[in-house]
Amino acid sequence: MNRVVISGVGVVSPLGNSGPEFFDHLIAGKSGVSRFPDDFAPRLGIRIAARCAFNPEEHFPRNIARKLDPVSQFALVAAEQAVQDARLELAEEEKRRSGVYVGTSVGGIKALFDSHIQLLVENATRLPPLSIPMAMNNAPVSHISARFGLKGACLTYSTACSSSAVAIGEAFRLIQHGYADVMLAGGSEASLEYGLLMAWESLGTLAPEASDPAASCRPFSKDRSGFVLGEGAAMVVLESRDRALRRGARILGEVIGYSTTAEAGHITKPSEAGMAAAMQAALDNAGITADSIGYINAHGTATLVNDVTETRAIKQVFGAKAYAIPVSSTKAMHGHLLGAAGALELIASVLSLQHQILPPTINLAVPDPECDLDYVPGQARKVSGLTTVMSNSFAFGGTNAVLIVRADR
Amino acid sequence: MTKTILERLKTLLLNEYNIDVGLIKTDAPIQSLGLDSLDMVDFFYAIEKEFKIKLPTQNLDLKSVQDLIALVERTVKEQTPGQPLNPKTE
Repeated sequence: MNRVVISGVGVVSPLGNSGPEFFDHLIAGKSGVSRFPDDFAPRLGIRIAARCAFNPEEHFPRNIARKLDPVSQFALVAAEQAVQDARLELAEEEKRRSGVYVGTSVGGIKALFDSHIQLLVENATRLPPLSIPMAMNNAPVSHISARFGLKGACLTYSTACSSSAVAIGEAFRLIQHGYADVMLAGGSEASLEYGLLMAWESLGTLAPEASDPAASCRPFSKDRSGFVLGEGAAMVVLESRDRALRRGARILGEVIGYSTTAEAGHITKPSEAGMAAAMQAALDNAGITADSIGYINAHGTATLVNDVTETRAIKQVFGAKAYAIPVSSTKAMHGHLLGAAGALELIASVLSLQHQILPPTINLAVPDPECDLDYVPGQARKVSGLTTVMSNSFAFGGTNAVLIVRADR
Repeated sequence: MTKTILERLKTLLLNEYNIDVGLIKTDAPIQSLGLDSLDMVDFFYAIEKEFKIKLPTQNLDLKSVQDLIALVERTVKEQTPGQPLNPKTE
């Protein structure tokens, strides 16, 4: 089996539109959460989100940008960055063994909503013909494939909040088993649309706005009240370690373990057993014991149920060692990127490994006896000798995914 | 100064597709606009917005740029008889 490494990352996020900027802000404990303008979505009650400062015209000519839903714009920009970060060049014959996997929860939802507004509000008799190719879930993959000439496996994964962790994990396996040599993998989500925001609000998992919007999402804190939605894209370049070594690539880390398991149960509520099974399966896949893990980037949605359940699951898998492993949820800072969350959080984990510093869980002010692990509260923490990190993604629909990355050696 | 249908189509092509057809002649084949089939469908939609009309989508036998101009002219006269085809430019 081939060993698989990460050689480049790309980020479009509420904390900045590059890997270094994103990580600097994470380590500074900065929040990307802010209020919507007053004239946006007038009937929306919870008026906060983690939005990207993203101007499409900085990245695309106008005639191209208008053919791309934001979900594809984010994905293309993140992919471009990842390729540049990896200094990746593909010979023509290599492109047949290179591909792209993107995870997204709802795809080009803006294109779809915009056409519905024209239909139902403006009484249009014809809708924009590009609505379909802009809205289709595989548009980001298709555009990235075309941009870089990738002719191998190009697939879209949609498993809600674990979509991009699954995309990266499946791409890892593809290279591991010899079906591809290079893969771009990650996720994109651009779903901060009026209709969806209202639906999320109804569901009751969103944090109400705190007097300081940045303090609204409070993972593992006793006073936690849910998550704040985010948007953006995160992509990595995965390649066989042999290829990376041959070309002298800088290796950010080796993907050594991946699991995807299903809850086979409740449509939205994760279980301790399901989460624990996912973490254990990833450890087994990596062929390591729980003792090897030095940091966990938690799913940490700051809902009442998730955080206590995830805490119990970590204790189930790691036993007494659980108390010695730093666990942080970075969602309080970058928001919940849904289909892009797993990839963004994996990048946070990989950059932690590279820089030997752990991002904090901000807004953790009130201890919860049921959440009693070391959540790196408040401030980033310098570490030494960190070699192996785990990133958890647990999803609506019950498809869980866990990734493990080790420093290259 | 007035703007011909051709000039209005050329402005659309430039603004929406970044295509400058320059001094294209009206008897040029429709393919010389440089649009693939998907772009052409989208261009028709843009024409509909520009001229406030609804074009037929099937059984169109457009061979030249002039055929397209004639189709637009005919449709405008049928659907919005009051609309000036060659509005004054600013």
